Amino acid sequence: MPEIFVSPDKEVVENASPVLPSKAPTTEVQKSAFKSHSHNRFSAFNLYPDGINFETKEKEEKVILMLRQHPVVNLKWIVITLLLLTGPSVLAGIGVTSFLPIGYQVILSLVWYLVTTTYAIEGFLGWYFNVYFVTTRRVIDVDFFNLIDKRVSDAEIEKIQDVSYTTKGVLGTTLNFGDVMIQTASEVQEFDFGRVPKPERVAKILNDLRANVH
Amino acid sequence: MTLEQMYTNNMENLILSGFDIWIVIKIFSLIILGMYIIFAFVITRQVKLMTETLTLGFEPIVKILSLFHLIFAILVFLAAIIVL
Repeated sequence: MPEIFVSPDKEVVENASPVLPSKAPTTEVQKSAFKSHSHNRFSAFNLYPDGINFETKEKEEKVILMLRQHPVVNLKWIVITLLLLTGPSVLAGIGVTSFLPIGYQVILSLVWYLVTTTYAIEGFLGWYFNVYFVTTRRVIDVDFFNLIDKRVSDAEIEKIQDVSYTTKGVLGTTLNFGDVMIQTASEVQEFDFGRVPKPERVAKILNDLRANVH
Repeated sequence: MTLEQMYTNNMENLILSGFDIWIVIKIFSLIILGMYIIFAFVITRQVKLMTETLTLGFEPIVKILSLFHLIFAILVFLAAIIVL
């Protein structure tokens, strides 16, 4: 029996890619249909994030994906910070600082805690501000390292030549995070989205976007 | 005379002449802590620039964190002036 009426909605669903819809969702109801859409400010994989803005974002440009390194990478600085916090007590217990006048011992402990605070802040901000964006037009890599250095690089989606990903190690395989490498024909020839969650999904999204552009 | 003996003699002469080694250590510590304050200030500036570059929804807390770090560095510097 010939089809007299075909719902336009059905057509859209059929033409859409398996990962991304053909049209970016605009309302919260539409966005919440995606499992990876989150309002968590510490989310490492956020599809169609809300309230995100960056300096070079153009008016019609929409953020499709925001990525950070997997939260498990924070474990290193958290453990080291906790160990460092015990430092002054351990040193005093062993008696390493006992040759110093009491005033110097107090200041040494304060300086120790100050450096520990700096280390913890560096660890947190280094993770928090190291973000990767995939927008409707570009991929953007924001690097923030050593507390005083930052670098922002971007490339047009249409200039992406190749996307590959790797998952390494026991942790990477268990928690499903890895590196996504993007080869481009722009000034920055290679983008490396390091240790991001669900790298296969990121690669799929990028490939779908490329396919839509070309 | 060995090198160690020469060093011990020199140190003894230094102490006998009324030279206070702790003054040197205090000045050195204050210079280092002063430089640390500059570093902490640069961090607050950098965080301000980052929050202007990127809006991720956690800006006030991050700014307070960097400011807390700067205040902590200043307090340690002041404590060093008083205590040392």
